[in-house]
Amino acid sequence: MKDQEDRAVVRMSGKIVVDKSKLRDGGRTTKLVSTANRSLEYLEELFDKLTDYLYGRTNSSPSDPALELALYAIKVLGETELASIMSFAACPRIRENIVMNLREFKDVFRQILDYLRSGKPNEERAKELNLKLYGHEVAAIAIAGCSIGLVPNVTLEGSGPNTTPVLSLSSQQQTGQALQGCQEGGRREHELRRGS
Amino acid sequence: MNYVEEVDKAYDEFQDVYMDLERLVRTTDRLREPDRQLLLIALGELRDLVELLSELPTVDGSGRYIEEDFVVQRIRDATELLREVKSAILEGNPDSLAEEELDVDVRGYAVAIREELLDVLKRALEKARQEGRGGRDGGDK
Repeated sequence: MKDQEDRAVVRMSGKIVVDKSKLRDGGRTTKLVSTANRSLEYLEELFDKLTDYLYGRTNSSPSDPALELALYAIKVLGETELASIMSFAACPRIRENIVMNLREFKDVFRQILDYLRSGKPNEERAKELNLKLYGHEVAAIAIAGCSIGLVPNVTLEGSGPNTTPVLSLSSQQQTGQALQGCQEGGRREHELRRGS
Repeated sequence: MNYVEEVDKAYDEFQDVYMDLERLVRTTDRLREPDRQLLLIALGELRDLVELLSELPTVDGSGRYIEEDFVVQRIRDATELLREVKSAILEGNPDSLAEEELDVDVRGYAVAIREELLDVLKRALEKARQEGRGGRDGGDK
């Protein structure tokens, strides 16, 4: 199948794995993934610390300096990661599209962070995050989301990196799953640490 | 002048220089079209990073966990880099500008600052956590 040619799998561990034999994009996705993976150690460490505060501390408050710093660090990582990943798009049309939409992606990213920070996740709020993305943009969002633990398990599929929209995310389903995964992941981790 | 005011002043200056340079990059015929686009993207990345830096005083009030000089100096350095890029465009040979790869310089600088910022944040976060843990342990006793 054509849509099997361009596939990258983001595993729950946060490590991004690409089947190079199926790629036809001149190494661009490989380079993108390599760059993303370099940042994962930072991201995972920071996200662990944030998780401690969000789920492990019953008395954490919005004014907690460590929580503020962790959220800020993740914002820096997420936003700059998106920018650097998107800059790998070689096709001028895609690049132009990406640059034009960068602000929109960042708004979405900020919404997700605000959503987490509010401590009151709910399905209705998740549905408000409306994503209409192109292939490389999907990859960038997914990688950034996976990196900070928002997206626990994502498979990217496409019909070709340089052409038409590669993948259309079902925003309600995808975002809902991502947020649900985040909540469940945090709960599980908290339970493990408590020894339950 | 307090911390926040100093950061605001440095950021305002950066913005002024940035807007001026962006206008030049968009309109000058000294740059080839592909180089112009790459440079605009790299400049956008640097601007976004500086914007994030300017938000740090909100997170870390009074430079409690990260030295005030760090934020102010990095913003000023970024402003200086923009001035150098402008000079390179105005004074350089159009044929050699592409080889100079201004966008690589700008992006390289942004990447270096980002890594530095993340290192600083990791240390600050650890310090804040230890303080929080100490305070909480003390409160439980």
